[in-house]
Amino acid sequence: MKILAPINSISDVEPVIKAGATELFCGIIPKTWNDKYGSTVSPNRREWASANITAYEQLNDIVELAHKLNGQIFLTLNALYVDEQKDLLDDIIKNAVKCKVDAFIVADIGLIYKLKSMNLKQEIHISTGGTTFNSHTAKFYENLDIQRITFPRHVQPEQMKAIVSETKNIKYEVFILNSGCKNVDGYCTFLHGMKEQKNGYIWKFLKKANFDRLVLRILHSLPQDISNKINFSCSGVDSPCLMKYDFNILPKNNTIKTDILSKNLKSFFSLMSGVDPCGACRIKEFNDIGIHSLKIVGRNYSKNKKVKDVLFIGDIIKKLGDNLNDDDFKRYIKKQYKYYYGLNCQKLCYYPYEN
Amino acid sequence: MKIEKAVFINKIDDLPISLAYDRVYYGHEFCEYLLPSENEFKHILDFVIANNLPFTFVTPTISNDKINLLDKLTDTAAEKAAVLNKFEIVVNDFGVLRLISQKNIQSTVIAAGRLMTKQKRDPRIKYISALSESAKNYYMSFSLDSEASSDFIKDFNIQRFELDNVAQGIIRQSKTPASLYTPFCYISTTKLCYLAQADKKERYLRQKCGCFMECQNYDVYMKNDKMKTDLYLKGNTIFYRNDVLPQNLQNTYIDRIVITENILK
Repeated sequence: MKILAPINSISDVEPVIKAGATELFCGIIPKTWNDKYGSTVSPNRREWASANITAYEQLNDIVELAHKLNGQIFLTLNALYVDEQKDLLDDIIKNAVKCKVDAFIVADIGLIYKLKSMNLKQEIHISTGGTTFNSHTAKFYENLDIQRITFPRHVQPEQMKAIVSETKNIKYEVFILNSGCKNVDGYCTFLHGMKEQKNGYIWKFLKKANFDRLVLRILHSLPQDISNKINFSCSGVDSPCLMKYDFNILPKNNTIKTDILSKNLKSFFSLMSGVDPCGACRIKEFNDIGIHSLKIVGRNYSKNKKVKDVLFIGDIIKKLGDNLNDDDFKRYIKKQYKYYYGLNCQKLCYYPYEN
Repeated sequence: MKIEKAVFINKIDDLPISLAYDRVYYGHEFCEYLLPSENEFKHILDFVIANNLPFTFVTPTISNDKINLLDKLTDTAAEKAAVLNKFEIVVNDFGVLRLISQKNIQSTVIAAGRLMTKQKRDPRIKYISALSESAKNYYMSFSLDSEASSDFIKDFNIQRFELDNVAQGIIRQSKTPASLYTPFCYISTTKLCYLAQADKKERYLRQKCGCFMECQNYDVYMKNDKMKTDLYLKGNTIFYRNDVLPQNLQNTYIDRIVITENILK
């Protein structure tokens, strides 16, 4: 299995490849796009400037360096596009082809048709936004000669197995670390990144200074029954999935108690509910299923965090060769988690086992 | 142009309501566990045939776990397609689209559902002052309506779009006829149901929990002033309410209003 890692600058490329990633992905918001739309209408599904590069020269340098180090670069173009954006989108595609990126990660069916009609050397990879929840959808994409599918975060390993076995010509990748959106990415229409659009440089500075990582680090070090209660209402968080809500629960039957439901709903919208889950305990199953790549997300995270993530997942892939039993394998994963992150396993699982 | 008035129901007990409308929508978009049994579906088909009521079957986003049931339901509908009045199927999943296209059901209109038309629906859009004109236009448009999507629309013979009555308004790029759902606009949905067993035990959201139809037991209202309007949580999906219809229905090729009041009851 390969590791697909996020980058947002050329300085990430060498350390991340040296740590063990052979596939990298990035996004671009060119100045022409930003001038017309701002970053909220991003050409990829990361609205923050700190998650994106901004110039084709940067993209060209990134691809050149990655290729020199035997890595590949995939460009995320997984937003949804309208007619008015045609020229700007064509410009991104033309320049990305010129830079020799290795694949486009896409979700828009119109863009998929367009790329197919262009007969490019670049592969077409279906983003999580392509919502592949069943075998028929995988075959739908297979008929369009798609080379790779990213499983949505909500597909369980046992469901993946059936889908993978029913298609012959597609490679699959799964999310393994970070950014555990609770809603289905491809069906979620909430806006993100509005604070950055409104408050500009202050927010960009906080993102670049890894403010959000610091907050998460503090949250991770708290006991879970406390961290689960923390919401950010007055801070920079403008993602509706992490806001503090007042819930008014109206049961259809007055005898029903709503205490537990109320507590659960609050924790579902806490900061801890969507951030940095880990799917490492399932790597053995992913290997058996035939998953091609493990995708680490977090383009805007620090270089240090990206390298640690790749090293952690790389260690576990290497350990597959030792044929440990399940208990010993999971013990090893927890030991490595502690080693790299200085924390005990948080039990924030991407794909928790049914209990 | 006459605007057709349809009602969307998802409970068999609500069938009589549909007699006051020009068309009935039946089904679920967001949850496969709410699909009717084969017998229930036969009962629904018998009702609309007996009343010669134009009928739209709404299909959900679906996993392999339930696609065989949906396959059987669409076969049942296909058997009766000749006697169903102006039969339509709303599709919300590329896999379901493939499945239904292969069946080649006669005299049936395929419509792209709300999960395929993918309008931006965040209720705050209307209020963001920092947006450029181009960004505003973007949020009023949707990608499936674009020229780039037209070959896909032709390949799968999609003849209608299902749209939400989004607060920021709608700009059209194609002339494909569209239905407008009101008053509830869906904003986001998950396969990690917010309510499944959440009234029984403290649970971790990503934990897969069996469904006991908890969504039928609770109405949940969510309030945060930043969202500008109240949100409604129904099972695995978050909605907001917008009762104000656009002035320019004909200019936006909307020829049908779909009342969604009943799907949140």
